[in-house]
Amino acid sequence: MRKPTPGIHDIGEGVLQSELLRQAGRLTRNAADAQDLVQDTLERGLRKYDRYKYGSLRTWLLHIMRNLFIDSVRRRRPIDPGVEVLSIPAESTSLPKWAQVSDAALSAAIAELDPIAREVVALKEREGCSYVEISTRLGIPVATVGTRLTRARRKLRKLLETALPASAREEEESEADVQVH
Amino acid sequence: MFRFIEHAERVHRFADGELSAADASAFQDHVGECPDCQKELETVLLLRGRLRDLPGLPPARSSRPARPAADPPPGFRSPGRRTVLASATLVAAAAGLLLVLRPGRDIPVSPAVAQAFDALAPGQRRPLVERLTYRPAARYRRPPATMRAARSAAAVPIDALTAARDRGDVHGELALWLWAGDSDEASTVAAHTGRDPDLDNDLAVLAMRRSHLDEAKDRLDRLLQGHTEHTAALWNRALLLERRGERAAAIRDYEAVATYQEAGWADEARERAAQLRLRLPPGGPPPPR
Repeated sequence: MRKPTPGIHDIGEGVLQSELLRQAGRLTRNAADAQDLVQDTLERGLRKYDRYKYGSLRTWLLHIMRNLFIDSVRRRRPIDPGVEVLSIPAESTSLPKWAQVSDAALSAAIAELDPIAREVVALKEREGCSYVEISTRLGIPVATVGTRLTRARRKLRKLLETALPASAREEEESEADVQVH
Repeated sequence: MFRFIEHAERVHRFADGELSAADASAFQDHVGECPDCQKELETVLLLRGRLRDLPGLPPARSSRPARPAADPPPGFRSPGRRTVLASATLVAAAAGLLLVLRPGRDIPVSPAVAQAFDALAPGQRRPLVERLTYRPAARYRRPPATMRAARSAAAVPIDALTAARDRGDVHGELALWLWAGDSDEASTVAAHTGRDPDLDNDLAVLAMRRSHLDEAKDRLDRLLQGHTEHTAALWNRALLLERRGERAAAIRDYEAVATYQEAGWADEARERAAQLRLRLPPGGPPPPR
């Protein structure tokens, strides 16, 4: 059965917070920093809730978390003026278009993956397995798990980008152009 | 120089928590400057969000029986930092929801949490001089070697923290932060715990760690009125009285602890009582109990 669309009260929901904390831990590698990152993510989510238009609250919050994480690592080191960087506006909360496709389009993209890639993705994202667990379950080397996951996710993103209407693709490309400076 | 797919793979491994600490740290230094890696990180995280929400994501063919449910008990909301909870509480209140928190007494201890307590007690020395009642912290370990060791904050393993939260184990999370010496984080959790004698004891420890001795004393006195044989509370009240210079009363509580003959704790209590007795004024033995 389809889960109800998350609403504003779900921002502080326990399981979602745990998931965010787990992801923040992987990014920051430090419990206190992870707590801070989750706090900042949720605070921004609450503040910018009026801009949340798409049905996946989890995806939207992970997007905010990713932006805040990159902001934080940039603040840790001096900016090298010779390096071209993507500008991530501090208040950016808009999801890229490819992440806003319908569930049907996402399911269709998954169906286009080869069976092993689908299996690796399902074990990782549905069952939360580690690389070692996936390696054991599928009888493949641990190093191969990372390669297969990377390829599967990259292919999924490409499929979702091509699933966008041409106008949305052009819009996304032009937004990306503007953000590089 | 990495080939691009290797470069991309490093991002995915990082986002999945599969890089070594050194490689993850190097990646953190790198990602702020690398648009390709930032885009790749976006791919992993946004796909993760979408796939987790997708009702039709097919199960793995090599599925095994489901893991224990990660969902907390009905009505439970796991605690976060103070402002997060304050915000969430406001939002929940606005939505007409009631936040109900409960102590973690009946919740099985996660192996990750149990391991974290051992990892934060190197050499089988407890990091606190006080006694906690949360199970992995409750068994006897020798006292900290130095006061500095007792006071310095350590990093709480993130796996343990998330494992405690996944189970709704508020007591475990509180004890983890206390064990690590982080009273601020412990206070955040403490504000959202329920009522339970063991939890009250650990909340008294938190008050002691924050030098709120009157609050700690009140909490321990109330607990011991209803649970006279709560040896951890007796122990902690003895420590508190010792800190306040009330040596005779502290000796009484230590000696009460010793009578219960708990391994390790009884010997240390006797030793502490004997040390205090040496510091009593001449002719001033502790009054009888």
